[in-house]
Amino acid sequence: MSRSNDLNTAISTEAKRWRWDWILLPALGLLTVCILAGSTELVALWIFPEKGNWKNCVVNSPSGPQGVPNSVCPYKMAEGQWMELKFNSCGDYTEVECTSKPPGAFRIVMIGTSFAMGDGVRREQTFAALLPKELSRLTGREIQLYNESLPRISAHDWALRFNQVTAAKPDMVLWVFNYADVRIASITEPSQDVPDGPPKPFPGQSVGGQDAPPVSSALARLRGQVSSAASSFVHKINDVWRDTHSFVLLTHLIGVTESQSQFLARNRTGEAQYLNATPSQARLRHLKDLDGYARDVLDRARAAGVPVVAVFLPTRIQVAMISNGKWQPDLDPYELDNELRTIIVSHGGTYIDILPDIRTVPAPERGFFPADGHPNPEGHLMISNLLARELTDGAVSALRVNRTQAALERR
Amino acid sequence: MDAASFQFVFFGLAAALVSNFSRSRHWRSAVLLVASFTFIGLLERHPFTLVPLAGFLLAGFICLVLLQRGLSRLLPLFVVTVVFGYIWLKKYTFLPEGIFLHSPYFTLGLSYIFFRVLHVLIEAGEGGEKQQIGFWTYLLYTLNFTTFVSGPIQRYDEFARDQFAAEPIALGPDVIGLQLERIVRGFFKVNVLATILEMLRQDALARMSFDLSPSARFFAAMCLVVLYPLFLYSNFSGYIDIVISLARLMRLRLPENFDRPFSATSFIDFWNRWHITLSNWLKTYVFNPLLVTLMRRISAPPLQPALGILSFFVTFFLIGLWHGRTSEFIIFGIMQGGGVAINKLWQYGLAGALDRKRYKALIANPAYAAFARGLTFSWFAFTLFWFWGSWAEIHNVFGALSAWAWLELWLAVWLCATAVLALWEWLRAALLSIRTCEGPVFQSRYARVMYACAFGFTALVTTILLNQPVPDIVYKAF
Repeated sequence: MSRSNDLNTAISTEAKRWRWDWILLPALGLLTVCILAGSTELVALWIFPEKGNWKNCVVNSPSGPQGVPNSVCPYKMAEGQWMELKFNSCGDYTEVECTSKPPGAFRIVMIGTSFAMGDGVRREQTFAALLPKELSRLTGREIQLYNESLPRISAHDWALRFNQVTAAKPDMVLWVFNYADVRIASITEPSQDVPDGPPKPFPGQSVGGQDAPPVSSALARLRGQVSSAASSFVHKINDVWRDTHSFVLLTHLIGVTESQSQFLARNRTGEAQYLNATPSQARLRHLKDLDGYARDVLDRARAAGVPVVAVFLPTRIQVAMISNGKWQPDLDPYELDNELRTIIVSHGGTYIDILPDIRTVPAPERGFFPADGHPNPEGHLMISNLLARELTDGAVSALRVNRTQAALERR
Repeated sequence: MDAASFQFVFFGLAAALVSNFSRSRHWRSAVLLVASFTFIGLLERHPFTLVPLAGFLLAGFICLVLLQRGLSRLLPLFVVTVVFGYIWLKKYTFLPEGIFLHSPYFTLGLSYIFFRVLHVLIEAGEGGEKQQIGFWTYLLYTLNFTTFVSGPIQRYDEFARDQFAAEPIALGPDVIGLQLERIVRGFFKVNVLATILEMLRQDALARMSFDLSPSARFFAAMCLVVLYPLFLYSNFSGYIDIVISLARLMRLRLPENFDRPFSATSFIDFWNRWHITLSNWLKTYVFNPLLVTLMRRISAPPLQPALGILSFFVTFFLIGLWHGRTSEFIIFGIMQGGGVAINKLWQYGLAGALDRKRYKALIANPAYAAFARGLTFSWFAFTLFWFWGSWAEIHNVFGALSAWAWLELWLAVWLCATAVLALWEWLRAALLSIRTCEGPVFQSRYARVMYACAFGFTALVTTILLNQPVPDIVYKAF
């Protein structure tokens, strides 16, 4: 009898514990996920802190972002270094003061976006600081580089504010492009990139342009609304996720080691579509808009008697492809470069090409922040050397250097 | 669907759910058959390309029927026919190119079907299988979707015991919980751990071709050697975790294929823990018959150890050879067979030099076990060059370092593996020694829920972040 009672008590205790488990186990699971997510974010925050805010030094103007004159903003991008964003009295982020150029000096005014500005890198390590020193050494004359670049200034903005460029009294304008400049060329374009493929019907509209039957139109509308709400929810979640430091940490870790195909798969709706050998409809539209703004800029430069030299700076994956000499047949790391050359040359500008020389650089992909994608100090040094070689190779007569003589002098 | 993807897991869970609508063996068999056909249909949309596989299965079934009708003397002929059919369909490169079929056809899972077909033929021919196997049962066994792509290689009697039991094996909340935890663990192994290890290995391989300093190149080579076995284990055992759990949810117990292989203290022990079902299959149908035959023919007692070593070599050479169709796998086979044969020779030598007590004491010595574990790992890791690389890749990799540097590297891998694996064994034992009355704390259901949630969350984040196709299961290619 006593044994039977013991058994019943044991069974009852076990049953109670199982009932508790229905609450306890999900709670434990939730707690684990929260601890894991929280600790990853803390570790990421510790490894990749993002401090300061450059936005206090930049205001929006009708011709795009503009630096606040004489402002200073300490700022650190997650993967980057501490930078002191110090704007001169004209509101430009450059080492050169906003005064007339010294007699005999050759002044280059550089226009571009975050790549040219040197986002994430101390100013003295950017190619904007390194290039004039290298050019001065190679040519034997004083070269100044006045950098007017700021993030997200589109070609349209440069066309509007070209008088600011000429006000700096340039002997030459160096216009620096990267794939993002092409993407923001159509300023009315929505920020989301549309992957290649047949156009999607609007919610509620049937494929092929035929109207939906009246009976099912309400259902189709409802389906469209649900689909739109779901898509918006996914985008919001994605935005929140991308704002976390965990995203930077994981992307950095993956970016350090991933293969070319893995990178392309991960970025198939973003950067990778700018590497397609056959341009998408979106890319063609961006290039067409860029073509119009480039014509405006080059016409104004010609009127002011200033030569414009344009160059395309590659991304991390592009340099990896060029360096390896291997890529998938539907891709071409040189295609966007060629498209830009066509645009610039057709409007009378000079175009220099640094991409082929990347083959001579060992492991050039190390010159970029893996998650952020901007060039790091190593990348800026590489860009500076490549630009100096191209600029002194005869593309700009004032900077031309006789290589044989220079080599002899160095010896 | 042929990888450890979300789709495959959901497909398996759906099949398990439907299978459990009734406990009837007919219902469960019907669901498994329909699920298996659907699975193959999802893998290959063109029925015509399935014809060679169907022909192979049909030929196997005809042989089986003839054996079941008493024509067991034809067993050797049937075995040769099935082996040749397999080699021909797999296009082994030692056969002349002209005899192969030139239109593309479906061969996924053929290797594992081959083992199952050969197993039922031999058992039927030798009278080991008493039950008559009908056509639908044969298809159910050979095409079972849980074991189709990469095994494990299940014996027919074990399959029939669970699948056709009048009272199916129990499936309570605790079993379901354990299986779901194992599915998540397997998914994590394949989609996170293996993916990251493979990325690191690819990076190391790329760095080998850079103009690096000798020490940096040495480190890259070390990564290359060490990472591949870990990747292969994560990739294959993760998939096996998933299919074993899915099958268990369908009330079918599949045999285990891995038992902590890197804890093995000898190369023979390693093959008892790595791809266990393949090793067992070859031990049953190659090693044992070969040894018995040799011992019958050569009865001199002093030669008997040599016969054992020879049988070991042949068996594990065949295991190596089975993995691929090209000449690299001949070397891989020789290194597997050679490793096992040398290991056996060492055991004989030690047993001869020491008395039984001292021999046992030496084997049990933790330092000896740790160095043996490290040596086993390093040997297996080096043999894998012939597993993943083509001759050109192997040439490039070996050309990146001098012969002396490779020797140093092997020593470094051995010593590092010894230290790391010893630390791991100690840590594991220490963690498992923390117990309550129900058993080790780290194996309790509470701990398992925490692992599963952590692995599941990490896998979800990583797969979303990587945004790329699910990695292939390496062993599906064999």
